Order: sequence, then structure tokens, then C-alpha cells
Amino acid sequence: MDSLRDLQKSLWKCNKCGSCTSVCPLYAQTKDEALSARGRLAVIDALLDGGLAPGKSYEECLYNCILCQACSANCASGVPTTEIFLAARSALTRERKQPLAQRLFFRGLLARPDRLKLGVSALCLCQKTGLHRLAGSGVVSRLLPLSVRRARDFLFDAPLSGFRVKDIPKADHPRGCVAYFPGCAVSALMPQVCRSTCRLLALSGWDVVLPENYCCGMPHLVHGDEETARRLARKNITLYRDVEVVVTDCATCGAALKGYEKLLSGDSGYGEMARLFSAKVRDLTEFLAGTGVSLPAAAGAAPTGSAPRAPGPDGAVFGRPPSAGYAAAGLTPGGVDSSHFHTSAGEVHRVTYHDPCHLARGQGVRRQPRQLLKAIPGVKLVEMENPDACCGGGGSFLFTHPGLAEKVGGAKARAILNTGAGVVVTECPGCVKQIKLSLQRESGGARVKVVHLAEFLGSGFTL
Amino acid sequence: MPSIAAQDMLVKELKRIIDPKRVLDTPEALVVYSYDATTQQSLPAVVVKASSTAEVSGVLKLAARLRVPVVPRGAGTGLSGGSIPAAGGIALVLTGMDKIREIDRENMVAVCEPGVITADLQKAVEREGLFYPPDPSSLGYCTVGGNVAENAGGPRGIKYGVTKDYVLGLEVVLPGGEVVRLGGKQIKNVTGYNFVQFFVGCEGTLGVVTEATLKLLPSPPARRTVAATFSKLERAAETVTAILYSGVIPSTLELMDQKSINYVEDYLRLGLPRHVEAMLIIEMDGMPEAVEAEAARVVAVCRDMGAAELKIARDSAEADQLWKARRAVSPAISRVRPSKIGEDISVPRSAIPDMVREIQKIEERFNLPIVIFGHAGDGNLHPNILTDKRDPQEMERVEAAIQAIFEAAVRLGGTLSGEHGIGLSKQRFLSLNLSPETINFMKAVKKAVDPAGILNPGKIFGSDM
Repeated sequence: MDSLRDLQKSLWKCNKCGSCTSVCPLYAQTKDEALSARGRLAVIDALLDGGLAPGKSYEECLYNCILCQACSANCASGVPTTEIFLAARSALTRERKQPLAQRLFFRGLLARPDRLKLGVSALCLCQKTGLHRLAGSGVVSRLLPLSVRRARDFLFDAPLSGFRVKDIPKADHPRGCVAYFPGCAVSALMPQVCRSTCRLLALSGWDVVLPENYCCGMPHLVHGDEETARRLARKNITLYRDVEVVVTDCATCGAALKGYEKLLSGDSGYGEMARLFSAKVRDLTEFLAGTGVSLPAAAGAAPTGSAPRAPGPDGAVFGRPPSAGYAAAGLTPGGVDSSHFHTSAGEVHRVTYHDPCHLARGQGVRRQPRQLLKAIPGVKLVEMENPDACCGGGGSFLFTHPGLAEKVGGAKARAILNTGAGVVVTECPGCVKQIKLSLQRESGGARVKVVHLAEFLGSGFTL
Repeated sequence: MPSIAAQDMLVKELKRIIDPKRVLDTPEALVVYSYDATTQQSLPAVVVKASSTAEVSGVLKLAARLRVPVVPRGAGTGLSGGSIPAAGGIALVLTGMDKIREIDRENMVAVCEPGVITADLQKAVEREGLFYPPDPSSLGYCTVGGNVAENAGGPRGIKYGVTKDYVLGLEVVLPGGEVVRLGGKQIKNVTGYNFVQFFVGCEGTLGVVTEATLKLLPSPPARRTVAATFSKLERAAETVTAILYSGVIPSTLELMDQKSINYVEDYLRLGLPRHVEAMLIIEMDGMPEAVEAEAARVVAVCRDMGAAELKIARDSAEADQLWKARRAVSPAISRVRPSKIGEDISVPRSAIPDMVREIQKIEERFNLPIVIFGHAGDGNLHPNILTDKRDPQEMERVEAAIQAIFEAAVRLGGTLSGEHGIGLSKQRFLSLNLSPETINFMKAVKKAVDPAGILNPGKIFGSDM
């Protein structure tokens, strides 16, 4: 409660003008003041002033929020809404025990890489044996609560193959070495994204190291378990101590890792290490757009004209001497070599990009993904209305609040469909899944592919 | 607050006529419907989210029977406490009634429910080549119903008037639950009393608006923005009159005083001149040829009046740049002190320089930072006192300063509020501005319409009804 009380002064900066309601994805769908930032701040203020007890409806009020950060980004008075909401959740968790199921999932599974792997293997087995279909069959499906059905759709919408980021391709003429931080969601549910990222990095001249990392801690943080988030942060900081740069292809992990500095700011042992660690974290697009990238040939699309060129010793890819190591390369704007990336000749593909909350607002990365997409021949980037409006996924929000997530997702899907794009690219595994589900509901037969940006770039995604 | 038993009965009875999911009485629901954009707060006994005129009528009938106060509420963005449930009772939330029922292109009118967000209405009619001019700064999140109830204005008032100038027809639920329809799509209509205007600006004390028929204009195809700075405030004020006298009615004519210029500069570093006493932002709209000619004349007038610096936007990006300064005033001054209390006096245009000098004196006398900006074209100024609402000693000074501002405004032939309303915040000062006979007449009308005194009690006239 103390850390929340410390924030009360900044909460008082809210002059209740109501402008946060104009950017809140949940308010837009419900017009419910209790879901707005202004409302939640008033409730937290009432709690701190002793006029309100932290009962069930208080907890609901705290958790009826996707934490998309649109309110904090938009607040004229600069109220750190998201920070206050997280502190309130954390204060509540300290005061009352987390429900057993949550504790088991977040602490017992997500925070334990070995068990997580086991869990994913179990899911794979489930899918291979067709067991998961049981939950999809008519009668059973109708009996399941919406949140469980949502979890099933989320987990089994594509074939699972378990962790498979073992054989990392080597860079031909390495410029240096980067450490990759694969998030739990990409490595468990979208290993092809991990492979693509590694391939992209290798093609662009980077040797990739892959420490066996722990969960970034964001799921724990948003569920008020700061203690576990700190524990995971310390472990990751130690694991990545000796590398110069940490690249991640998950918007949420990136935001969490860059947030370690703040999370551990008061930690006597780790405070300074956390600051150094956060400073070396780069989102994949931030890193590639900054240092230059070579895109691979499209799978299946035979390159016309000259044979594929290795990004190479002549430094043609980046216009920078190959001898330049990472330190020399710095993070200056780099080029994009897409000469190997082939689409059918002359064809133009409309592609739209969705800004994940944790990337656009969480890390301020908006330009770089667009820069990379625009560099691909044959790709026409068509912006949707409000590309940085939340998709409604919010990590576990889509299971815990399936109804609300569906409404917000519907608005996102309609914005995507309005662009007429055949592909929507984004850079967060949660967004990928949520947008897929929302498009299935809204598209009425229109086929729009949803792809993670790393997969789109790194696998030579066939358009 | 009624007794617990009475409250339980009220909730039970409400749930009989309204979907129980939309009848809320958790502590959290009561808190989030207890405030607006002022510094005040008061908990309702129960929150009802209405979805139709019939439901509104049902709630009012029940409230009349049980003698429970009802406070209609839109998005709760008002600046005078109009939607705060000051006497408890039912917070009647209308944001769920958010359909635009019709956009009639031939007759250039829109028919919409009270919960429609003003900016959404503007966007919808723009898609039809039409224009709904009223533009309160909260247009992105306030509602049409609230705009009607408070007679909201905005920068465009000088050329286009305010909400009242666009309301052609209303459906209103009276305090007894009766539904009346007034006016319609007609531009001219003298069948019966002109009671449409009676409900515009009634601050939710006479009836609940459940549908509004609004006049639209053709969308102006061209816009031109000019910004001019003046080393002396008087010159800026004289320029306002000179521009109008030259035959141009700009669509907006905004004034920023030296303090607001400096706070914006601290906040955004736009390169605004810190030493000038005033800046005017002037926008013309209409047919392209007319706009060009008007802009040229405005520039000439500003030069003649000795503008220190003159900027003319060549395209919409440059215009945005000029507007950025004006739009940043609110955020910039919000960051200076924990709270800001925005007043809303309206004086005859010619009294603007005197009014500003008076406010500067008040600022010194009470030792409180006061920023002045507003709609110089129509005399509507927003002196904002930067303070800390949690400092009771300072708040005493703030109250005294507010009183002094109102006294000065009235002395200069002005009024307490241009576009925010009286509500709770300004009722203490009502007698400064209106004679006892006028106030008594208003009270008598209120009593005739709402004999039980259930609709938004305690507003405008205070508890002394």
C-alpha cells in the first residue's frame, strides 16, 4: 500500500477532464465510466482515503483494464495512470493471497522454464493425439465457459511443435554478436517466429547467442506479483550479463526488459546492473532498422535474375566495412537490403501494420517496423484507422475478460478490413493471436493473413 | 443519503423496470458517477444507465413517486458541477443512448440521442459534406445531451454561435415522467411557445433531453489561419474590434495572455515570443476565394494595428502548428500546479482589456497565479487559477479571488458564465448578476415544472428553492 500511497500525489494531478475516455478502448465499447482511467483513479483515491474497502468489485474495477497505456500517453496533466494501476494491483495482491489457480499458473508454470517446457510438450501431445478436439466438439464446447474456449482457440489455432530454437544459423561474416531473448509466447506457441528472428539476425551479419532465459515477468507484474517479477528480472539480468546487446521480437518482453531499470531501481544489489541491462535491450525492429538488415529470399519463390547474394564480405548490405564490430556499427540508421526478397514480379501487396501497445507506447517504437515493411519490394503499406489502438488481447485479458476482449477486437478487425489489405503484420505474439481470432469473427469470409513481423521478414513470407 | 432500507427499496424498484445489469450500487459505481470535471464530488445512492426514452420516463415516474432526486449525466465533463448528484439520489447516465438516428441531407439536420459524443456527430455529418459547428474543447469526449443542457459553446462562437443556435427540436422527459416533443426539423416554427430554447442551458433542472434535432451547415471547403503577437494587450484587444469592423467575421478569434504563452513555451518550446503581452489566433473559413480575401484583410488590419509578429499558415500542417500553441494551453497549465480552477466569465468585447487588467490586479492581491486565455472574439474569457485543491488555506484565497473576478466581470457589464453554466460552482454568486425579481421568476418556473423538486435539486439556485 505504501508504494501506492506514494503515488497518490501524482494521482491528484488528475483534474477529471475526461479526455482519457476518448482514447480508452474499453470505454469506447462500453461507455462505462468504471472502465475509464479517470474512474479507476477516483476509485483508488477513495480507497486510499479510507472511503472504500477493497472488496470483490474493487478487484474487478482494477482488473477491468487492458493496460494499453493509451490514457497515460494522452493525459494532458501527465498522470502516470498505468503505473498507478499496476501499483494498485500489487498493493491488493500483497494484502490478499492470489487465487490458487493464478498462483499455480504464474509462479508455478510461467516462472519455471523447465515446467513451462513440459507444459508445452503436453499441449503438443494433446494436439497430436487429437485430444484437444474434444474441447472443440459441439456439446462439450457449448458447456465450456467462454474464457476456456478462448484459451483453447488461442493455444490450438496453429500446429504446435514445441521449443525448437536449437539450430541457430551462423552469420557468414559476423559483424558481432547479439543475444536473443525469446519470449514464452513466441517460443511456446510460435517457434517459427523464433527461427525467423535468428535467421534475420544471422543474415544481417550477427552471431546469435541464446541463453536459456526466464519469463520477462510482465505477466506477474500485471497481476500484481511484483516480487516474482523482480526475481525473474534478477535472473535474466545475470544470464545476459556478458552480452552487449539483447534483442527481442516480443513487444511485451521488450517493454518488460526495458522496464527492469525502474522495477529494480531501489534494489541495492541489482539497481545499477538493471540500468545497464535495460540500456542494452533492443526491439528487433529497432535493432534491424538501426543497424541495417538483409532480407532473405521468399520461400518457394524462385528468385528471378541473379542468384541470391550472401549479405556479405563486400559490405554491400550495410555500406559499412565488415570489420566494424557491433561497437563500431553503433545504432545509426542502417539500410535495408531486400534484393533477395522476391514477390511475384510487378505485383503489389497491400499490407497493414498494427502497433502493439507495448511497442508503440511501451517503447516508443513506431517508425522502425514501418521503415522495414516499406523497404520490401511489392509491399504497399496501407495504414488502418488508429493503428496504435489496442487490439483487445492484453496478454491474459482475452481469457479473463473474453466478452470485452471480443468487443475491442471487433473494432480492430473492422479497421483492418477497411484497409483492404491482404496481410496484417504486427510484432507481438498476443496481438497476432487476438487479431486472428477477431478477424475470424468479423471477416465474414474475407481472408486476411496475420503475421508476426519477424516471420514476415525473416522467412521470406510468401505473399 | 436515504436510509439503508429506503435505498434497498429504491434499488429493488428500479431493477423491476430497468435491466438489473444497468442498475448499479457497488461502492465503485457510486464513486465513478460522483464527479464531473470540477473539483467537487458527491455520491449518488444508485446509478441507472438508461437505454431508451421509455426507461428515462419510467425512472422519473418512480423517482417522483418516491421523492428521490434524479441527476441526468452525460460524459461528466461539465465545468460547473451540473451532473454531480449533489443531493444523492439517482445518477441517470445517458451515455448508452448514443445513436445518431438520422442525418437528413436534404433538410440539413441531424437527429441524435443524448449520449452521442460531439466529435462523433461532427465526423458523421462531415462524411455527408455537412458541418455541426459548436466546438467545446471537450468535444472529443463530451456528449450532445450535456452540450444542450449546458448550452456549450467553443471558439467558433464568434461566427457560428453556440449550441442553442443549432437546436431545432427536442424530445424531453419532464420531471413527472411525461414525454414532450418540441420543435422539429423546421427552420421557422411559431406553433406554441418556443420551449426548445427553454430547455437549452437548463442544466438538467427542468427535464431530461432524450433526443435532439440539430441544424447543420454546409461544410466550409477552405480554412486559413493567422497568428499575431502584440507587445501590448490593449492593442490585441483593439485589433479584435478592428478586424470585425473591417468586415471580416473570423470563425475563431482566440486570445492567449503572456502567462499562457510562457507556460506553453515552458512545456513545448515552440519558439513563442515570451516578452509579448498577447497573441491572437485568427481563423477564417468558407469558400476558398472568400477565405483568401478575408485572410488578406485580417493580415493588413493586424499590421496597421502594429502587430509585433505575424504568421500566416500556408497549409493545414502549418495551421496545425499555429493551433498547437493554443491547444497546449490546458495541458501546459495543468502541469504547473496540482489543480487548476477554470472560470468562464463573458464580458462585452470592448471590456476585454479592462477585464484582463482587473484579473492581473486580483492575481497580485491574492498572490495566486492566474492564466488568461479564451475566445476574445465573443468576450468569453477563461481565467484559470493554478492552485492546490487540497490546501484549505490556499483554497480560501482562491474562493475570494473568484468572487473578485465575478464582481469585476459584472461591474464591466459581463456575466458569470459564458459556456459552463452555474451548477454548483457559481450559485453563490448568482445574485451578483441577476436581480431578486429575475431569480424569483426563474425559481417560480422551476417549481411549476418540477413541483416535487426531484430533478437535479440544489443546482443554479442552491438549496434555497
